[in-house]
Amino acid sequence: MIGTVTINPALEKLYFIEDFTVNRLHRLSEVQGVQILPGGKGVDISRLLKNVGLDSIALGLAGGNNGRVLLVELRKTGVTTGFTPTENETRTNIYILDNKNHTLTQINESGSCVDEDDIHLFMDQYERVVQQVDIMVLAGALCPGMDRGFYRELVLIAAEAGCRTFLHASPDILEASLPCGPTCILPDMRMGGLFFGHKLRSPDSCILAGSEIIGRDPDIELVVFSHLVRQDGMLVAVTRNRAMIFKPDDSSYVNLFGFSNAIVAGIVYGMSHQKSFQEAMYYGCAFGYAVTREREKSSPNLDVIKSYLPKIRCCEERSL
Amino acid sequence: MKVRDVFCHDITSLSENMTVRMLIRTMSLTRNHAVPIVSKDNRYYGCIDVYDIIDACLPDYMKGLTSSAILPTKFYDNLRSIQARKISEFVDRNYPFVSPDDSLNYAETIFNKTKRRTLPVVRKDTFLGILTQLELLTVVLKD
Repeated sequence: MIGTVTINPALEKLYFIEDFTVNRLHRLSEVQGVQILPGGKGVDISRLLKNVGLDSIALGLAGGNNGRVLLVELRKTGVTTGFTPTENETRTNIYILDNKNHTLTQINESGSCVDEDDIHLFMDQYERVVQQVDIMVLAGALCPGMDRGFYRELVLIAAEAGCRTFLHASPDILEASLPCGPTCILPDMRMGGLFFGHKLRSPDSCILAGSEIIGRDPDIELVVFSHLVRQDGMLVAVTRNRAMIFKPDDSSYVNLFGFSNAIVAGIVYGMSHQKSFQEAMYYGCAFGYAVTREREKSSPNLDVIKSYLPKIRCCEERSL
Repeated sequence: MKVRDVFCHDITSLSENMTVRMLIRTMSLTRNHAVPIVSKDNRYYGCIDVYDIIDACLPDYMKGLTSSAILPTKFYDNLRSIQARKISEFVDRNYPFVSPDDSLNYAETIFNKTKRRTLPVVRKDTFLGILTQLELLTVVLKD
């Protein structure tokens, strides 16, 4: 069984507007439309896994009307939920996709604060659920005001229960949480900035940063960098003894919605099927590239994902 | 149709070490009158209905009365006084539950016999979700 944690989920509204312009009234037609989805990194990963036949339990914090809608929509996809209810409203994220001008405008709320009771109740639920999962994915932003090292304790509790963990979050959260012994980390570099003092602008800098982090935290087995996808669709993976650079034959994409979440889902899928890190990375790439080919935020099925596997190459491999 | 076809796959629950205050908070925010209790080793332990708490707060002389239309002030004093106590004291270990393989007819019989509105769905000590009577009725009408 897989578990996912989304501390600060969002109800996502995607508007498809041709020729989107500011200072203008846009009425949505049926053709253009709107899509409402449960969102947040862990939630996305649970949905993707369910679509390829892997059950998961999604945990986190959710409240208010948005929280209720989010959980109802998530359960409709077949995911089991165990969210802790909060008094404050779950945030809304708005995406405006303009396929004529090929633009994507995003408005992400920061989310509501949570109180001590929320955290206390969440921990109570987490400590029990972690007993029944093999891999726990801790992904995404924390709520405003929360300790940036919050994931650290969750990783340690999971380790005590014999559960492997994936950490997928922004550099500030990862830096505050490590070292704590996750199995795999994938930094979310969408906001740019430094990662442990490194500017990650090339595969070389990613490999250097990855091997440094692995050196500092003896339990980390895999560090993945997905943000170079804009440069020829590159993905960089660093393990204890080697670095790999993956590329698809065709690196074009329609959008990058949930690209990194799909990579995590793919690696989790591979590892839960006892694949090696290299094989799991192929699945990660295939999941990732499959979601970038759709106009809408999608959860491709296993046949679609497998059709991408032969199109991915490990174009460079270095011993470390 | 079976319970597995209609139940809500929500495993939000509390451990028996939580307090009554946390229980009432959870009931209020989830809008559920009953909260399943799962032990630290993730085994289903029982359930607490809001009436279990109400009953615990009634002064002794009112217990057993079928109608408590007028609650004495003592009731609220009692509620405040138990808010920090552990819910393990109030768990109904014999609270009825169903399994995913039970028929809807069986579940409806349990609802009617016990006058409960929420039933935990449990398989081999593992809590899987909840079935509400309203959900069951809704599904029957859609069918």
